[in-house]
Amino acid sequence: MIRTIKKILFFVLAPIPLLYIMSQLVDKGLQKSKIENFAVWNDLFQSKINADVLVCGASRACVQISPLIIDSILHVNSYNIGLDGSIFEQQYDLFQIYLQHNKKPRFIIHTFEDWDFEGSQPSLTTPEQYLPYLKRKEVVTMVRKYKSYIDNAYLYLPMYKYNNKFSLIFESVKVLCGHGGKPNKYKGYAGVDANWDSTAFAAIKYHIQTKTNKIQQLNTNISTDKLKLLTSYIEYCKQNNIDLILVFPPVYKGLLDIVDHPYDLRDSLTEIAKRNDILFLDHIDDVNFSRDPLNFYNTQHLNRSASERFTAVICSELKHHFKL
Amino acid sequence: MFFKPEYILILGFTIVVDYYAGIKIENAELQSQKLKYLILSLIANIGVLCVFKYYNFINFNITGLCGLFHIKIDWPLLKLALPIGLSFHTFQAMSYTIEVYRGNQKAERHFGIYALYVMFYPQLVAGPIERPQNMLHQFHEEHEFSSEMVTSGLRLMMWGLFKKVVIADRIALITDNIFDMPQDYNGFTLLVTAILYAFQIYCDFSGYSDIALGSARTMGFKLMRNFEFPFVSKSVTEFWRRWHVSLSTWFYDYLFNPMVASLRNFGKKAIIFSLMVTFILSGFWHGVGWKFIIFGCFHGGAVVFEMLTKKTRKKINGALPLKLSDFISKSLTFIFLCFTWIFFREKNVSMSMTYIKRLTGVPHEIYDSIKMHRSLSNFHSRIEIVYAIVFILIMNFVQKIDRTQSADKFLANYPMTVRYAVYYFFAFSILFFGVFTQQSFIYFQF
Repeated sequence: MIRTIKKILFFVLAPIPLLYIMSQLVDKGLQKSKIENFAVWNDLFQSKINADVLVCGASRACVQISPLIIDSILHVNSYNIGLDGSIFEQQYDLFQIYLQHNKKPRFIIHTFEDWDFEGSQPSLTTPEQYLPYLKRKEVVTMVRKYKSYIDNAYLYLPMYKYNNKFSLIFESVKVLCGHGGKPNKYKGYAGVDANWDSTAFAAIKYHIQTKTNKIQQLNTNISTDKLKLLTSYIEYCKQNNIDLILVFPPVYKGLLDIVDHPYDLRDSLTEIAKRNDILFLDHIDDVNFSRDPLNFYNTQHLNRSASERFTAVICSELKHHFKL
Repeated sequence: MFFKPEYILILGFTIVVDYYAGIKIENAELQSQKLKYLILSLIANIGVLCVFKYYNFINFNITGLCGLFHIKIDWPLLKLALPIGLSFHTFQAMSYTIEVYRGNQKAERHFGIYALYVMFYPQLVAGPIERPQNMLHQFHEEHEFSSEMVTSGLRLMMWGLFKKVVIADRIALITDNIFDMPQDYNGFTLLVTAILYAFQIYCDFSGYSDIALGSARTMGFKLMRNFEFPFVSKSVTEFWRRWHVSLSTWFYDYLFNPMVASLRNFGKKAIIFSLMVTFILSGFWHGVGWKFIIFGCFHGGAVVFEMLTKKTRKKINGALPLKLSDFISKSLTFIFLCFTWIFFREKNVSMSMTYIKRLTGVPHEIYDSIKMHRSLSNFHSRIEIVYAIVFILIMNFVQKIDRTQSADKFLANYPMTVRYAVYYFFAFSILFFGVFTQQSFIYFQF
C-alpha cells in the first residue's frame, strides 16, 4: 500500500516544479508584454505612468480619450487607464492600485458608462489581463470581489490559471524570445477605426422596441449604495488636491430617442457634480457628435477620428475652465 | 436535477419499502403473495418516479387532450425539483425486487448493505444501473488493498475525466449556443454540430461511467461496463447492445422479454409491439417531453426495420466487399444516431424541426460555397473545432487499442518511462485543454 501511495504521490508531485517554472516564465513574459491591457498594467506596476492627467473609466475612456491629443494641446503627461467592460467600483479599485505605484495626478478625467452604478455585482470582463499579476495582493483582492472569477486553484496550482489560454502562453514565449506582439495602445488609448454598423443598430432597435431581448442600453438601475462610492472618490480627490472632471461622452441620438430613461445617470451626475462643486462635462447629446452616426462605430462609442476630435473638445473645455 | 438534503427521504422511503418487499417476497410461500409484494414494491418505485418526474407532463397532456373535447380539468401543477439520479436508483432498486421474485437473488437481510446497494456513491447519480447479482455479494466480501486495482481505477478515472472535460465540455462550448438558436446558423454548421454532439454525448456519459467504474475499482469493487465502443455499431440494434448497456439490458430483461413471452401467441407482431413499447419507454425514461418519445419511436422503428429486413440486408452486404459493407453500415448507423440526437438535445420538437429543416439546405450551401468562394460554415470559433477533432482522433486511437486488447495490458508491455509519458500526456491535456466551467454531466438530469 505504501508503495502505491508513494507512486501516486510521485506522479502528482513530480511535475509541480516544472509547472511552477513554466508558470513563472509565462508570468514574466506577460509582465513585459506590450499588447492589450498588459501594456497598461505593466506601466502601472513599473511606476512608469506618473501622469499629470489621468483618464479613467471603462470602454468609453479606452476608445474615446486620446492621451496623444491631451499631451499636445495641454502640454502635460497624460495616460489612459480605462478598463474595458468595468463598472465604477472596479475603476475605483484600479485607481487605488495606481496610487500605490505612481504619483498622484493633477487632473482626473473620468468618463461614465450606464452600468457603472448598477446594483448587481458583475463578473470581470477580460479576466485574462489579471493572470500574470496574481501574486500581487492588491490584484487578488480586487478580482476576488467579482463573480466566480478567481479560483483558489489559480493561486496554488501552477499553470492552471493558463488553462486554455494558449494565446497568452504564445505571447509570453514570443516576448521572452524578443519577438513580443506590437503595442496596440498608445498610453492606454486604443481608437477604433471601424465604421458605423447600421444592421447592428437595426437589431438593437428591434430588440428595444419589441422588448424581445435584454440589451444593456442606457436605462440600467442606478444603485444609491454604488453612487456613495463616487462620493468617497470625490472626497478623496478633494483632500488630495486632485481636480476631478466627470465626463459623459456622446451617445448616438438614434438610441437616446428609443430607450426609456436615457438621461437618468446624466442627471444623477449633474446633481452630484453640483453638490460637490466639481466640473461635469455633459456631452451625452452633443450636437457635434450625437446626431451623425458616422461619428460612431456603435451606439455608444465614437470611432477613432471622432474620438480624437472629442478629446480636443474636452481639452479646450479644460483649458477654459482651469486657465491652463 | 437538484440536490436537496430533504430528498434523501425519498431514497430512504424506496430503500425501506424494497428492503422489506425483498424479504417478504422470499418468505412468501404462495406465488400470488410473492407477486403481491412485488407489485407493491414496483408501485412504490414507479410512483415516486411518476410524481417527481412525469406528473406535470401527464397532467399537461391530459388537460390539453380534454380541452379538445371541451372538458375542463383543473389539476394542480406540482413545483417539485427532480431529485438527482432518481431514474437510476429507482431502476436499480426495482431490479433487486424483480430478481428476488424470480428467485435469482436471495433477499438481503442486512439493511445497511441493501441501502449501500442502492446508494453506492460512484454509480448513484448516473449509473451504471447495477444488478443485485453483481453487486450485493461484493459488499459482503472482504476487500484487501490491491495496488493493481487502485492504479487501474485511477487510470480509468483519468481517462473518463479526459473524455469529459477535454472532449465533451469543449464540444459543448461549440454546440450549446447552436442548439439554443439553430435559426441563426446555416445548414452545414448545423450538420457539423449534430456530428460533434454525437461525440459530446458519448464522451460526457461514457466519461462519467469511466469515472464511476474507476472510483469503484480503487475501492476494490467491479461495476459493469456501460459502453462497448458504440460508434463501431453496424446497426441500431447493435448500437443498443453497446450504448448504455446497463439500461438496455434492464429494459431487455425486465420489460421486453416478459412482454414477448406473454404475447408469444402473436408471433412476429408480438416482437414488433414489444420492441416499440420498450424503445418508447426507454426514450421516456430519459426525460419528460414528446421529444424523448419521438427519439424512442425512431429507435424502436429502426430496430423493427432491421429485424424485418435482416435477410435482405444480409444479401446486399454479402454482395459487397466486406470493408465497404462495414463502412456503409457504420456510416448509416452513425448518421441515424446523429439525426435522432437532434430531438434528444433540442429544447422541444418544434426547435428540432427548425434544425432539421435547415439541414436540408446543405447541398445548396455547398454549391454556393464552391461557386462563390463563400465560407461553408458560420461557426464562431473554428479553433475550438480543430481542438475537438484532434482530441476525438486521440480518443479513437486509444479505443482502437482498447478494442483489440485492454489499454491497460497494452501499456504494461512498455517500460515505465513510456507509461508515465502517456499518463502525463493525458494529465497535462486535462490541465491545459480541459474546460472547467461547471458543465454538468448530461445524464445527471435523468
